[in-house]
Amino acid sequence: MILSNRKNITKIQLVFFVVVIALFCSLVLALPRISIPLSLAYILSLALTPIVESLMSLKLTKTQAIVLIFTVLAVLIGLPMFKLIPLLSAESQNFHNVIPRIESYIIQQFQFIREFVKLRTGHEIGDAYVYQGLEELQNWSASFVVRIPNYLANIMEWIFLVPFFTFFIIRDSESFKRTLLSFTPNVIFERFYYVIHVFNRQLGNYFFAKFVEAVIVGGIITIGLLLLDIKYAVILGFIAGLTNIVPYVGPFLGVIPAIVLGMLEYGMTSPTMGAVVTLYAIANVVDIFFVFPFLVSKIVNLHPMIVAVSVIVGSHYMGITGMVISIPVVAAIKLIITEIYNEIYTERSR
Amino acid sequence: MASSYEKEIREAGKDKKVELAKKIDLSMMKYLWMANPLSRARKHSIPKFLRNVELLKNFSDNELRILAKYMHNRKFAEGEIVFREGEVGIGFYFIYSGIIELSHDDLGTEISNEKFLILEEFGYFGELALLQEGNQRTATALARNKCELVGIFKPDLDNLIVRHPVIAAKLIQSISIALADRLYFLTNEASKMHKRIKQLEARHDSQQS
Repeated sequence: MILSNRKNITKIQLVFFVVVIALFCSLVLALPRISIPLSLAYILSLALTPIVESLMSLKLTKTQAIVLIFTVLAVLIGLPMFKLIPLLSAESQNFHNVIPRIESYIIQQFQFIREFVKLRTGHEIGDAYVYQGLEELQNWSASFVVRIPNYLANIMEWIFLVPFFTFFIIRDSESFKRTLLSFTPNVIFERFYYVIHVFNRQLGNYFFAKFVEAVIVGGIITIGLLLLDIKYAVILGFIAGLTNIVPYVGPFLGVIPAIVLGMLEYGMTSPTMGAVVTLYAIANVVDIFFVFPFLVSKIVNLHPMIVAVSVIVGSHYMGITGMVISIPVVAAIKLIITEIYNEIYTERSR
Repeated sequence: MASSYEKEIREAGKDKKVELAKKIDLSMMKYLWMANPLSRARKHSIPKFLRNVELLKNFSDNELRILAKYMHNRKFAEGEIVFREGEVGIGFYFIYSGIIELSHDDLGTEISNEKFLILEEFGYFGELALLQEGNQRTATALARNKCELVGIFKPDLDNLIVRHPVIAAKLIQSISIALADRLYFLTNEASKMHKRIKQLEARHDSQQS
Protein backbone atom coordinates (compact mmCIF):
# COMPACT_ATOMS: atom_id res chain seq x y z
CA MET A 1 0.00 0.00 0.00
CA ILE A 2 2.78 2.36 0.85
CA LEU A 3 4.68 1.26 -2.23
CA SER A 4 1.77 1.71 -4.60
CA ASN A 5 1.79 5.49 -4.69
CA ARG A 6 4.17 6.90 -7.29
CA LYS A 7 5.49 9.71 -5.10
CA ASN A 8 6.14 7.35 -2.23
CA ILE A 9 8.14 5.01 -4.43
CA THR A 10 10.36 7.88 -5.55
CA LYS A 11 10.89 9.04 -1.98
CA ILE A 12 11.72 5.55 -0.78
CA GLN A 13 14.17 5.03 -3.64
CA LEU A 14 15.91 8.27 -2.75
CA VAL A 15 16.07 7.48 0.94
CA PHE A 16 17.45 4.01 0.25
CA PHE A 17 20.10 5.40 -2.04
CA VAL A 18 21.19 8.13 0.39
CA VAL A 19 21.31 5.68 3.28
CA VAL A 20 23.52 3.23 1.39
CA ILE A 21 25.93 5.97 0.35
CA ALA A 22 26.05 7.48 3.84
CA LEU A 23 26.69 4.06 5.37
CA PHE A 24 29.51 3.35 2.98
CA CYS A 25 31.13 6.75 3.48
CA SER A 26 30.90 6.73 7.24
CA LEU A 27 32.28 3.21 7.58
CA VAL A 28 35.21 3.84 5.30
CA LEU A 29 36.09 7.46 5.99
CA ALA A 30 35.55 7.61 9.74
CA LEU A 31 38.53 5.39 10.47
CA PRO A 32 41.82 7.20 9.73
CA ARG A 33 43.56 3.85 9.48
CA ILE A 34 41.60 3.06 6.32
CA SER A 35 40.82 6.54 5.09
CA ILE A 36 44.45 7.68 4.81
CA PRO A 37 45.78 4.81 2.68
CA LEU A 38 42.54 4.84 0.70
CA SER A 39 42.88 8.56 -0.06
CA LEU A 40 46.54 8.13 -0.97
CA ALA A 41 45.59 5.24 -3.24
CA TYR A 42 42.84 7.35 -4.82
CA ILE A 43 45.26 10.22 -5.45
CA LEU A 44 47.83 7.85 -6.96
CA SER A 45 45.16 6.30 -9.15
CA LEU A 46 44.13 9.75 -10.40
CA ALA A 47 47.73 10.58 -11.23
CA LEU A 48 48.41 7.23 -12.93
CA THR A 49 45.18 6.71 -14.86
CA PRO A 50 46.16 9.02 -17.77
CA ILE A 51 49.38 7.03 -18.16
CA VAL A 52 47.45 3.76 -18.09
CA GLU A 53 45.12 5.08 -20.76
CA SER A 54 47.94 6.12 -23.05
CA LEU A 55 49.52 2.69 -22.61
CA MET A 56 46.18 1.10 -23.45
CA SER A 57 46.09 3.02 -26.71
CA LEU A 58 49.23 1.06 -27.57
CA LYS A 59 47.08 -2.08 -27.51
CA LEU A 60 48.03 -3.36 -24.06
CA THR A 61 45.19 -4.70 -21.93
CA LYS A 62 44.35 -2.72 -18.84
CA THR A 63 45.81 -5.22 -16.41
CA GLN A 64 49.02 -5.45 -18.40
CA ALA A 65 49.36 -1.67 -18.45
CA ILE A 66 48.84 -1.37 -14.71
CA VAL A 67 51.33 -4.13 -13.93
CA LEU A 68 53.89 -2.46 -16.19
CA ILE A 69 53.48 0.89 -14.46
CA PHE A 70 53.70 -0.68 -11.03
CA THR A 71 56.89 -2.52 -11.93
CA VAL A 72 58.48 0.68 -13.20
CA LEU A 73 57.44 2.59 -10.08
CA ALA A 74 58.61 -0.20 -7.79
CA VAL A 75 62.03 -0.11 -9.40
CA LEU A 76 62.21 3.69 -9.32
CA ILE A 77 61.20 3.88 -5.67
CA GLY A 78 62.64 0.61 -4.43
CA LEU A 79 66.23 1.27 -5.41
CA PRO A 80 66.59 4.54 -3.46
CA MET A 81 64.77 2.87 -0.56
CA PHE A 82 67.31 0.04 -0.50
CA LYS A 83 70.05 2.58 -0.12
CA LEU A 84 68.06 4.68 2.31
CA ILE A 85 67.17 2.07 4.92
CA PRO A 86 70.70 1.09 5.99
CA LEU A 87 71.53 4.77 6.06
CA LEU A 88 68.56 5.55 8.28
CA SER A 89 69.30 2.76 10.71
CA ALA A 90 72.92 3.89 10.95
CA GLU A 91 71.88 7.48 11.47
CA SER A 92 69.32 6.67 14.12
CA GLN A 93 72.09 5.07 16.13
CA ASN A 94 73.96 8.31 15.78
CA PHE A 95 70.89 10.22 16.79
CA HIS A 96 71.98 10.38 20.40
CA ASN A 97 75.12 12.18 19.35
CA VAL A 98 73.32 14.59 17.08
CA ILE A 99 71.21 16.31 19.69
CA PRO A 100 74.08 17.37 22.00
CA ARG A 101 75.96 18.62 18.95
CA ILE A 102 72.97 20.71 17.88
CA GLU A 103 72.53 21.90 21.43
CA SER A 104 76.13 23.03 21.84
CA TYR A 105 75.98 24.68 18.44
CA ILE A 106 72.84 26.63 19.33
CA ILE A 107 74.29 27.73 22.68
CA GLN A 108 77.45 28.85 20.95
CA GLN A 109 75.51 30.92 18.42
CA PHE A 110 73.32 32.35 21.13
CA GLN A 111 76.33 33.53 23.16
CA PHE A 112 77.63 35.08 20.00
CA ILE A 113 74.40 37.00 19.44
CA ARG A 114 74.27 38.06 23.11
CA GLU A 115 77.75 39.54 22.96
CA PHE A 116 76.89 41.26 19.73
CA VAL A 117 73.75 42.87 21.11
CA LYS A 118 75.53 43.82 24.36
CA LEU A 119 78.25 45.52 22.38
CA ARG A 120 75.83 47.48 20.25
CA THR A 121 73.10 48.39 22.66
CA GLY A 122 74.29 47.55 26.19
CA HIS A 123 71.25 45.32 26.69
CA GLU A 124 71.48 41.83 28.17
CA ILE A 125 69.21 39.23 26.62
CA GLY A 126 67.86 36.76 29.12
CA ASP A 127 68.88 33.20 28.37
CA ALA A 128 66.06 31.39 30.18
CA TYR A 129 64.07 30.90 26.99
CA VAL A 130 66.90 29.29 25.11
CA TYR A 131 67.59 26.73 27.81
CA GLN A 132 63.89 26.00 28.14
CA GLY A 133 63.71 25.47 24.41
CA LEU A 134 66.65 23.09 24.50
CA GLU A 135 65.04 21.11 27.29
CA GLU A 136 61.87 20.79 25.21
CA LEU A 137 63.98 19.56 22.33
CA GLN A 138 65.56 16.88 24.52
CA ASN A 139 62.17 15.68 25.76
CA TRP A 140 60.78 15.61 22.27
CA SER A 141 63.71 13.61 20.89
CA ALA A 142 63.38 11.06 23.71
CA SER A 143 59.68 10.54 23.05
CA PHE A 144 60.35 10.45 19.30
CA VAL A 145 62.75 7.57 19.63
CA VAL A 146 60.19 5.71 21.70
CA ARG A 147 57.47 6.26 19.09
CA ILE A 148 59.56 5.14 16.11
CA PRO A 149 58.27 1.54 16.20
CA ASN A 150 54.73 2.93 15.92
CA TYR A 151 55.60 4.99 12.86
CA LEU A 152 57.39 2.07 11.30
CA ALA A 153 54.38 -0.21 11.82
CA ASN A 154 52.12 2.37 10.18
CA ILE A 155 54.48 2.77 7.26
CA MET A 156 54.73 -1.00 6.74
CA GLU A 157 50.96 -1.23 6.67
CA TRP A 158 50.76 1.57 4.14
CA ILE A 159 53.50 0.14 1.92
CA PHE A 160 51.29 -2.90 1.46
CA LEU A 161 47.86 -1.26 1.45
CA VAL A 162 48.47 1.69 -0.84
CA PRO A 163 49.70 -0.23 -3.91
CA PHE A 164 47.02 -2.88 -3.30
CA PHE A 165 44.23 -0.28 -3.20
CA THR A 166 45.71 1.68 -6.10
CA PHE A 167 45.81 -1.39 -8.33
CA PHE A 168 42.17 -2.19 -7.73
CA ILE A 169 40.98 1.40 -7.90
CA ILE A 170 42.61 1.88 -11.30
CA ARG A 171 41.36 -1.45 -12.59
CA ASP A 172 37.82 -1.46 -11.27
CA SER A 173 36.70 2.14 -10.95
CA GLU A 174 34.65 1.90 -14.16
CA SER A 175 32.65 -1.14 -13.04
CA PHE A 176 32.24 0.39 -9.59
CA LYS A 177 30.76 3.51 -11.16
CA ARG A 178 28.41 1.37 -13.26
CA THR A 179 27.14 -0.49 -10.25
CA LEU A 180 26.65 2.74 -8.32
CA LEU A 181 24.75 4.29 -11.21
CA SER A 182 22.60 1.22 -11.77
CA PHE A 183 20.84 1.63 -8.47
CA THR A 184 20.65 5.43 -8.52
CA PRO A 185 17.02 6.54 -8.65
CA ASN A 186 15.90 8.02 -11.96
CA VAL A 187 15.00 11.36 -10.40
CA ILE A 188 18.56 12.34 -9.59
CA PHE A 189 20.42 10.12 -12.05
CA GLU A 190 21.53 12.72 -14.58
CA ARG A 191 22.56 15.35 -12.06
CA PHE A 192 24.34 12.83 -9.84
CA TYR A 193 26.27 11.34 -12.75
CA TYR A 194 27.30 14.77 -14.00
CA VAL A 195 28.43 15.94 -10.56
CA ILE A 196 30.48 12.81 -9.92
CA HIS A 197 32.08 13.08 -13.32
CA VAL A 198 33.11 16.71 -12.85
CA PHE A 199 34.32 16.00 -9.29
CA ASN A 200 36.53 13.18 -10.55
CA ARG A 201 37.84 15.19 -13.46
CA GLN A 202 38.72 18.22 -11.34
CA LEU A 203 40.47 16.10 -8.76
CA GLY A 204 42.27 14.24 -11.53
CA ASN A 205 43.45 17.42 -13.26
CA TYR A 206 44.64 18.93 -9.98
CA PHE A 207 46.65 15.90 -8.94
CA PHE A 208 48.07 15.26 -12.35
CA ALA A 209 49.27 18.88 -12.39
CA LYS A 210 50.74 18.51 -8.91
CA PHE A 211 52.42 15.28 -9.98
CA VAL A 212 54.05 17.04 -12.92
CA GLU A 213 55.10 19.90 -10.65
CA ALA A 214 56.63 17.46 -8.13
CA VAL A 215 58.58 15.72 -10.88
CA ILE A 216 59.93 19.06 -12.15
CA VAL A 217 60.97 20.32 -8.71
CA GLY A 218 62.43 16.94 -7.74
CA GLY A 219 64.29 16.77 -11.02
CA ILE A 220 65.83 20.22 -10.68
CA ILE A 221 66.97 19.53 -7.14
CA THR A 222 68.35 16.08 -7.95
CA ILE A 223 70.34 17.38 -10.91
CA GLY A 224 71.63 20.33 -8.87
CA LEU A 225 72.68 18.13 -5.99
CA LEU A 226 74.37 15.69 -8.32
CA LEU A 227 76.29 18.58 -9.89
CA LEU A 228 77.32 19.81 -6.43
CA ASP A 229 78.50 16.25 -5.73
CA ILE A 230 76.53 15.87 -2.53
CA LYS A 231 75.85 12.47 -1.04
CA TYR A 232 72.38 10.95 -1.38
CA ALA A 233 71.40 13.46 -4.05
CA VAL A 234 68.72 11.25 -5.60
CA ILE A 235 67.03 10.58 -2.28
CA LEU A 236 67.03 14.22 -1.29
CA GLY A 237 65.63 15.19 -4.68
CA PHE A 238 62.94 12.55 -4.37
CA ILE A 239 61.93 13.77 -0.90
CA ALA A 240 61.93 17.37 -2.07
CA GLY A 241 59.66 16.54 -5.01
CA LEU A 242 57.31 14.52 -2.81
CA THR A 243 56.97 17.17 -0.11
CA ASN A 244 56.31 19.84 -2.70
CA ILE A 245 52.84 18.40 -3.12
CA VAL A 246 51.81 19.54 0.35
CA PRO A 247 50.59 23.13 0.12
CA TYR A 248 52.35 25.95 1.99
CA VAL A 249 54.65 23.86 4.21
CA GLY A 250 55.78 21.42 1.54
CA PRO A 251 58.85 23.26 0.27
CA PHE A 252 60.03 23.90 3.83
CA LEU A 253 59.58 20.24 4.72
CA GLY A 254 61.65 19.31 1.72
CA VAL A 255 64.55 21.52 2.75
CA ILE A 256 64.82 20.06 6.27
CA PRO A 257 66.57 16.78 5.37
CA ALA A 258 68.99 18.68 3.19
CA ILE A 259 69.79 21.13 5.97
CA VAL A 260 70.26 18.36 8.52
CA LEU A 261 72.51 16.43 6.17
CA GLY A 262 74.49 19.52 5.27
CA MET A 263 74.93 20.53 8.88
CA LEU A 264 76.25 17.11 9.87
CA GLU A 265 78.49 16.51 6.91
CA TYR A 266 79.71 19.88 5.83
CA GLY A 267 79.19 22.28 8.74
CA MET A 268 76.79 25.15 8.92
CA THR A 269 78.78 27.88 7.30
CA SER A 270 80.60 26.02 4.53
CA PRO A 271 80.04 27.16 0.96
CA THR A 272 78.47 23.80 0.12
CA MET A 273 75.71 24.49 2.58
CA GLY A 274 75.06 27.85 1.05
CA ALA A 275 75.00 26.29 -2.40
CA VAL A 276 72.45 23.71 -1.30
CA VAL A 277 70.15 26.34 0.19
CA THR A 278 70.47 28.47 -2.92
CA LEU A 279 69.63 25.46 -5.07
CA TYR A 280 66.46 24.81 -3.14
CA ALA A 281 65.55 28.47 -3.34
CA ILE A 282 66.04 28.47 -7.12
CA ALA A 283 63.96 25.32 -7.56
CA ASN A 284 61.11 26.79 -5.58
CA VAL A 285 61.30 30.10 -7.39
CA VAL A 286 61.14 28.30 -10.73
CA ASP A 287 58.21 26.35 -9.38
CA ILE A 288 56.29 29.42 -8.27
CA PHE A 289 56.94 31.63 -11.26
CA PHE A 290 57.05 29.22 -14.19
CA VAL A 291 55.37 25.92 -13.34
CA PHE A 292 52.47 27.25 -11.30
CA PRO A 293 51.08 29.77 -13.80
CA PHE A 294 51.22 27.31 -16.70
CA LEU A 295 49.24 24.79 -14.70
CA VAL A 296 46.96 27.47 -13.30
CA SER A 297 44.17 26.54 -15.69
CA LYS A 298 44.03 23.20 -13.94
CA ILE A 299 44.33 24.66 -10.50
CA VAL A 300 41.22 25.88 -8.87
CA ASN A 301 39.74 29.25 -8.31
CA LEU A 302 39.40 29.61 -4.57
CA HIS A 303 39.75 32.55 -2.21
CA PRO A 304 43.11 32.37 -0.33
CA MET A 305 41.31 32.38 3.02
CA ILE A 306 39.25 29.37 2.04
CA VAL A 307 42.40 27.61 0.87
CA ALA A 308 44.16 28.26 4.20
CA VAL A 309 41.15 27.20 6.27
CA SER A 310 40.61 24.03 4.25
CA VAL A 311 44.29 23.06 4.59
CA ILE A 312 44.08 23.50 8.37
CA VAL A 313 40.86 21.48 8.62
CA GLY A 314 42.36 18.77 6.42
CA SER A 315 45.46 18.59 8.58
CA HIS A 316 43.28 18.22 11.66
CA TYR A 317 41.32 15.26 10.35
CA MET A 318 43.81 13.35 8.28
CA GLY A 319 47.25 14.78 8.94
CA ILE A 320 49.50 15.34 5.98
CA THR A 321 47.19 13.45 3.62
CA GLY A 322 44.41 15.77 4.68
CA MET A 323 46.46 18.81 3.77
CA VAL A 324 47.22 17.40 0.35
CA ILE A 325 43.67 16.51 -0.63
CA SER A 326 41.88 19.36 1.09
CA ILE A 327 42.28 21.89 -1.73
CA PRO A 328 40.81 19.85 -4.60
CA VAL A 329 38.11 18.40 -2.38
CA VAL A 330 36.99 21.87 -1.32
CA ALA A 331 37.07 22.99 -4.95
CA ALA A 332 34.88 20.06 -5.93
CA ILE A 333 32.49 20.75 -3.04
CA LYS A 334 32.25 24.34 -4.22
CA LEU A 335 31.29 23.01 -7.64
CA ILE A 336 28.60 20.76 -6.21
CA ILE A 337 27.16 23.60 -4.14
CA THR A 338 27.11 25.86 -7.22
CA GLU A 339 25.23 23.17 -9.16
CA ILE A 340 22.68 22.71 -6.40
CA TYR A 341 22.29 26.47 -6.09
CA ASN A 342 21.61 26.81 -9.81
CA GLU A 343 19.16 23.96 -9.58
CA ILE A 344 17.16 25.49 -6.76
CA TYR A 345 17.27 29.16 -7.63
CA THR A 346 16.87 29.15 -11.43
CA GLU A 347 13.61 30.44 -12.87
CA ARG A 348 12.05 27.72 -14.93
CA SER A 349 8.85 27.44 -16.92
CA ARG A 350 6.94 24.92 -14.91
CA MET B 1 10.04 -17.94 -21.78
CA ALA B 2 7.46 -17.72 -19.03
CA SER B 3 4.67 -18.53 -21.44
CA SER B 4 6.40 -21.66 -22.71
CA TYR B 5 6.93 -22.78 -19.10
CA GLU B 6 3.22 -22.35 -18.36
CA LYS B 7 2.26 -24.12 -21.56
CA GLU B 8 4.42 -27.04 -20.55
CA ILE B 9 2.82 -27.23 -17.13
CA ARG B 10 -0.63 -27.30 -18.68
CA GLU B 11 0.33 -30.03 -21.12
CA ALA B 12 2.26 -31.99 -18.50
CA GLY B 13 -0.73 -31.81 -16.19
CA LYS B 14 -2.88 -33.48 -18.84
CA ASP B 15 -0.41 -36.30 -19.54
CA LYS B 16 2.20 -37.68 -17.21
CA LYS B 17 3.42 -35.96 -14.10
CA VAL B 18 6.72 -37.82 -14.23
CA GLU B 19 7.97 -35.92 -17.27
CA LEU B 20 7.20 -32.61 -15.57
CA ALA B 21 10.26 -32.77 -13.32
CA LYS B 22 12.69 -32.76 -16.26
CA LYS B 23 10.77 -30.09 -18.18
CA ILE B 24 10.60 -27.71 -15.24
CA ASP B 25 14.36 -27.72 -14.95
CA LEU B 26 15.07 -26.61 -18.50
CA SER B 27 12.53 -23.87 -19.02
CA MET B 28 12.76 -22.66 -15.45
CA MET B 29 16.49 -22.32 -15.90
CA LYS B 30 16.00 -20.58 -19.21
CA TYR B 31 13.58 -18.15 -17.62
CA LEU B 32 15.85 -17.39 -14.70
CA TRP B 33 18.82 -17.07 -17.03
CA MET B 34 17.05 -14.57 -19.28
CA ALA B 35 15.69 -12.60 -16.35
CA ASN B 36 19.17 -12.08 -14.90
CA PRO B 37 20.24 -8.56 -15.83
CA LEU B 38 23.90 -9.50 -16.00
CA SER B 39 23.54 -12.53 -18.27
CA ARG B 40 25.41 -12.69 -21.54
CA ALA B 41 22.19 -12.71 -23.50
CA ARG B 42 21.50 -9.32 -22.01
CA LYS B 43 24.90 -8.05 -22.95
CA HIS B 44 24.43 -9.10 -26.52
CA SER B 45 20.95 -7.69 -26.82
CA ILE B 46 21.89 -4.03 -26.67
CA PRO B 47 24.17 -4.11 -29.74
CA LYS B 48 21.46 -6.06 -31.59
CA PHE B 49 18.99 -3.39 -30.59
CA LEU B 50 21.34 -0.61 -31.70
CA ARG B 51 21.70 -2.29 -35.11
CA ASN B 52 18.03 -1.60 -35.73
CA VAL B 53 18.28 2.10 -34.92
CA GLU B 54 18.14 4.29 -37.99
CA LEU B 55 20.48 6.93 -36.55
CA LEU B 56 23.42 4.53 -36.12
CA LYS B 57 23.36 2.91 -39.53
CA ASN B 58 26.96 4.05 -40.24
CA PHE B 59 28.37 1.96 -37.41
CA SER B 60 29.97 -1.45 -37.92
CA ASP B 61 28.89 -4.30 -35.65
CA ASN B 62 32.09 -4.15 -33.60
CA GLU B 63 31.66 -0.42 -33.13
CA LEU B 64 28.12 -0.98 -31.91
CA ARG B 65 29.40 -3.56 -29.45
CA ILE B 66 31.94 -1.09 -28.07
CA LEU B 67 29.36 1.72 -28.00
CA ALA B 68 26.99 -0.51 -26.04
CA LYS B 69 29.56 -0.76 -23.26
CA TYR B 70 29.31 2.99 -22.71
CA MET B 71 25.51 3.05 -22.54
CA HIS B 72 23.31 2.74 -19.50
CA ASN B 73 20.08 0.77 -19.08
CA ARG B 74 17.42 2.78 -17.30
CA LYS B 75 14.02 1.44 -16.34
CA PHE B 76 11.00 3.69 -15.91
CA ALA B 77 7.61 2.82 -14.45
CA GLU B 78 4.30 3.83 -15.95
CA GLY B 79 3.69 7.55 -15.60
CA GLU B 80 7.24 8.29 -14.50
CA ILE B 81 8.77 11.45 -15.93
CA VAL B 82 12.11 10.99 -17.68
CA PHE B 83 12.90 14.69 -17.70
CA ARG B 84 10.97 17.93 -17.42
CA GLU B 85 11.04 20.90 -19.71
CA GLY B 86 13.61 23.46 -18.51
CA GLU B 87 15.73 21.01 -16.56
CA VAL B 88 19.44 20.85 -17.29
CA GLY B 89 20.01 17.65 -19.22
CA ILE B 90 23.00 15.55 -20.15
CA GLY B 91 21.51 12.41 -21.63
CA PHE B 92 20.49 11.09 -25.03
CA TYR B 93 18.02 8.22 -24.87
CA PHE B 94 17.04 5.40 -27.20
CA ILE B 95 13.81 3.57 -26.51
CA TYR B 96 14.53 -0.11 -25.95
CA SER B 97 10.90 -0.91 -25.14
CA GLY B 98 7.79 1.00 -24.25
CA ILE B 99 6.19 4.27 -25.36
CA ILE B 100 7.41 7.78 -24.55
CA GLU B 101 5.32 10.94 -24.88
CA LEU B 102 6.96 14.29 -25.50
CA SER B 103 4.93 17.33 -24.52
CA HIS B 104 5.17 21.01 -23.76
CA ASP B 105 4.04 22.16 -20.37
CA ASP B 106 1.76 25.13 -20.53
CA LEU B 107 3.23 27.88 -18.33
CA GLY B 108 2.41 27.10 -14.72
CA THR B 109 -0.21 24.40 -15.09
CA GLU B 110 0.47 20.75 -15.83
CA ILE B 111 -3.08 20.01 -16.79
CA SER B 112 -3.02 21.38 -20.32
CA ASN B 113 -0.19 19.31 -21.80
CA GLU B 114 0.21 19.54 -25.52
CA LYS B 115 1.48 16.18 -26.59
CA PHE B 116 3.30 16.77 -29.80
CA LEU B 117 5.23 13.57 -30.28
CA ILE B 118 4.79 9.96 -29.33
CA LEU B 119 7.84 7.73 -29.71
CA GLU B 120 8.04 3.98 -29.76
CA GLU B 121 10.69 1.29 -29.86
CA PHE B 122 13.90 2.28 -31.73
CA GLY B 123 12.99 5.96 -31.41
CA TYR B 124 15.36 8.44 -29.83
CA PHE B 125 15.09 11.75 -28.02
CA GLY B 126 17.16 14.26 -26.08
CA GLU B 127 20.05 14.50 -28.52
CA LEU B 128 20.62 18.23 -27.97
CA ALA B 129 21.67 17.59 -24.36
CA LEU B 130 24.64 15.54 -25.47
CA LEU B 131 26.13 18.35 -27.50
CA GLN B 132 25.15 21.59 -25.82
CA GLU B 133 26.70 22.98 -22.63
CA GLY B 134 24.12 23.47 -19.92
CA ASN B 135 21.34 22.46 -22.24
CA GLN B 136 17.80 23.06 -20.95
CA ARG B 137 15.34 20.44 -22.09
CA THR B 138 12.84 21.74 -24.60
CA ALA B 139 10.06 19.34 -23.72
CA THR B 140 8.83 17.00 -21.00
CA ALA B 141 9.23 13.27 -21.60
CA LEU B 142 6.74 10.95 -19.93
CA ALA B 143 6.68 7.16 -19.94
CA ARG B 144 3.23 6.13 -20.98
CA ASN B 145 3.81 2.53 -19.95
CA LYS B 146 6.62 0.55 -18.39
CA CYS B 147 9.69 1.67 -20.38
CA GLU B 148 13.23 0.59 -20.73
CA LEU B 149 15.56 3.26 -22.11
CA VAL B 150 19.16 2.94 -23.23
CA GLY B 151 20.96 6.20 -22.57
CA ILE B 152 24.32 7.73 -23.32
CA PHE B 153 25.42 10.75 -21.30
CA LYS B 154 27.97 13.54 -21.53
CA PRO B 155 30.52 11.84 -19.22
CA ASP B 156 30.23 8.72 -21.40
CA LEU B 157 30.90 10.79 -24.48
CA ASP B 158 33.96 12.34 -22.82
CA ASN B 159 35.32 8.89 -22.00
CA LEU B 160 34.50 7.65 -25.49
CA ILE B 161 36.39 10.55 -27.07
CA VAL B 162 39.50 9.65 -25.10
CA ARG B 163 39.37 5.88 -25.52
CA HIS B 164 37.75 5.37 -28.93
CA PRO B 165 37.92 8.64 -30.85
CA VAL B 166 36.72 7.05 -34.09
CA ILE B 167 33.48 5.78 -32.55
CA ALA B 168 32.93 9.08 -30.75
CA ALA B 169 33.40 10.96 -34.03
CA LYS B 170 30.91 8.67 -35.80
CA LEU B 171 28.38 9.14 -33.03
CA ILE B 172 28.70 12.91 -33.11
CA GLN B 173 28.47 12.81 -36.91
CA SER B 174 25.25 10.75 -36.79
CA ILE B 175 23.66 13.08 -34.25
CA SER B 176 24.78 16.12 -36.23
CA ILE B 177 23.20 14.72 -39.40
CA ALA B 178 19.89 14.27 -37.59
CA LEU B 179 20.11 17.78 -36.17
CA ALA B 180 21.08 19.24 -39.56
CA ASP B 181 18.01 17.64 -41.12
CA ARG B 182 15.86 19.09 -38.41
CA LEU B 183 17.41 22.53 -38.78
CA TYR B 184 16.85 22.47 -42.54
CA PHE B 185 13.22 21.50 -42.05
CA LEU B 186 12.67 24.20 -39.42
CA THR B 187 14.34 26.87 -41.58
CA ASN B 188 11.98 26.02 -44.41
CA GLU B 189 8.99 26.11 -42.10
CA ALA B 190 10.12 29.43 -40.64
CA SER B 191 10.52 31.06 -44.06
CA LYS B 192 7.09 29.73 -45.13
CA MET B 193 5.53 31.18 -42.01
CA HIS B 194 7.40 34.44 -42.55
CA LYS B 195 5.92 34.72 -46.08
CA ARG B 196 2.47 33.86 -44.79
CA ILE B 197 2.67 36.52 -42.07
CA LYS B 198 3.78 39.08 -44.65
CA GLN B 199 0.79 38.14 -46.80
CA LEU B 200 -1.62 38.45 -43.87
CA GLU B 201 -0.11 41.77 -42.83
CA ALA B 202 -0.42 43.10 -46.37
CA ARG B 203 -4.02 41.93 -46.53
CA HIS B 204 -4.79 43.46 -43.15
CA ASP B 205 -3.26 46.79 -44.20
CA SER B 206 -5.19 46.85 -47.47
CA GLN B 207 -8.42 46.04 -45.60
CA GLN B 208 -7.84 48.84 -43.12
CA SER B 209 -7.14 51.53 -45.66
